[in-house]
Amino acid sequence: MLKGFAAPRSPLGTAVLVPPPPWYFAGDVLAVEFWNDPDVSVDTLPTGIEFEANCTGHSVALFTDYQFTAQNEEYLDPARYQCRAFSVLLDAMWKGSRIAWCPYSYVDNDAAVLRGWIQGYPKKLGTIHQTRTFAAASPASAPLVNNGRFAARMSCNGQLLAQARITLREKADGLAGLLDRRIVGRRHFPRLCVGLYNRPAVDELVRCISNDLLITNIWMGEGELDFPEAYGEELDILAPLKVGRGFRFSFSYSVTNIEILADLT
Amino acid sequence: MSESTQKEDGMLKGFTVPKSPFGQAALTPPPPWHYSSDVLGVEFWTDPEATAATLPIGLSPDPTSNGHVVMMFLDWQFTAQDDEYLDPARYQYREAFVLLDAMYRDTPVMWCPYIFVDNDAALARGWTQGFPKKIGSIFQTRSFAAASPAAAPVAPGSRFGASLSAHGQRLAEARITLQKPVEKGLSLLSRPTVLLRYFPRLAAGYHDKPAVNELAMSVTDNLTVAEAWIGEGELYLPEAQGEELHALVPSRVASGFRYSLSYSVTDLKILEDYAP
Repeated sequence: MLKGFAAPRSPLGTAVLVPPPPWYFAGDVLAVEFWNDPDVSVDTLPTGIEFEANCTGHSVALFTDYQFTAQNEEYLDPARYQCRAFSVLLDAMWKGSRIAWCPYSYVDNDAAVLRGWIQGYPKKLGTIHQTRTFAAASPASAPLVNNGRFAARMSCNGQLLAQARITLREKADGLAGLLDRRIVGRRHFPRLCVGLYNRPAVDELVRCISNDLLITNIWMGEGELDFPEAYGEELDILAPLKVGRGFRFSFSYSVTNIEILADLT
Repeated sequence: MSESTQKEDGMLKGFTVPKSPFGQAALTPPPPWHYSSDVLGVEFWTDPEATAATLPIGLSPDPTSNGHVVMMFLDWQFTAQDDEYLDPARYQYREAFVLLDAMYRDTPVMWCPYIFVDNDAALARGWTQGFPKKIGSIFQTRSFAAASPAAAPVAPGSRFGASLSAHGQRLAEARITLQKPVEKGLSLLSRPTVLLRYFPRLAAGYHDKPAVNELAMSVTDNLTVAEAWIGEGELYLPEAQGEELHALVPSRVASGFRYSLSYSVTDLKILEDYAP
């Protein structure tokens, strides 16, 4: 019988795009906090998600450079299982609890697209780059020091969608109000049968469950962030009215489960 | 904002994710979907046990042609209702896949075990239809009107190449030498394609109980084959880590072909629903 957690299911189960959980992630992040116009960004919220009464439009843009493994030494296959990602998270509420809503997310790898869809992240393919830090000192090594500078950019189909710059100021013990909410996404899989285009086979609000979350080597400083207008995208309507702190840190976590909040079908 | 704000979900638009206020950000627009392409293909025979091993529940080997496979390389342009063909960066793409003979009950069909594309919109449309698409790099020799050793005219003796690679590994290489036009090009596509729409659950305890597990038959409208040529083919399917395409390695190549193809998609026929 065919094997595989996802498609393509195959005789040996090795052709599958995504191996089964547990999934382990480790990587480096450039993050910029910003404020957008909540009167506009509210339009990206699905049924059941709302802004708190005193919503300021507080959001975070994340550029992530990470490595993945499951149970079969996937991290030794860097072409398939390293990934760069860009996501936006908006501070929001689900039934009175503080959550982060993910309206848009991009990755540069097909396994990450499907893992994202399974987790409720609406991933598309993009081209994402970020300044990295290397141990051997050089003008090119981008050390983690006061005044250390980092940049990131995301583009898609030949258009620039997001760019960021961060100037490090000090090492920090924590993210101080950033990424302290569980992420909510939407698992969605459409139907193609005539008459059922707007009745998806799967449409669930889900809350991510991260195990063993570790955030380390945190540096905090100043951020710059821009979402240029781009045809066929709507990221630009979330563009910053004000930009706050910039962060660089390393992270790891694992995933074996997800919390289904609501079935929207 | 003075009070809690909640929008009706009807405000979010999009046939697929990401759903957005204007419906512009979705990976693919809703059907009708219209496709045009140039196709290079190789028809071959492989180990019947290898093809049978790729079949999902609901399909059985074709007793008369088990082991018969076609591998196709396609250079596509897509449009829906909004001039998508004028956005070539998003809506042109290249594709490589295998179709093998099988039976659904008493109906001869083709089954698609493996398929690769180089574009995310095509990935999302494929998953919706039941094509198990992954991302790859696909190339094919094209034919240009101005005569030159580089033009590859559609003519007797003309040669075309095609290749598929993914994540740094070569998965397929084909060579086709044209011999003669085919009058009834549609005879090259005589069976409907059967697919598996499959979308897993991530909730603990449900990893082997997919949310979507449907055997589906593709429905193609206005299927058109033009300028079909047939000739000789060669096909290599090198062994690659993390892939199973090479299990279908050809034992005998029957032919090579090239044609232009178009069709539209508005519907899908669900044959069986295996979701628990």
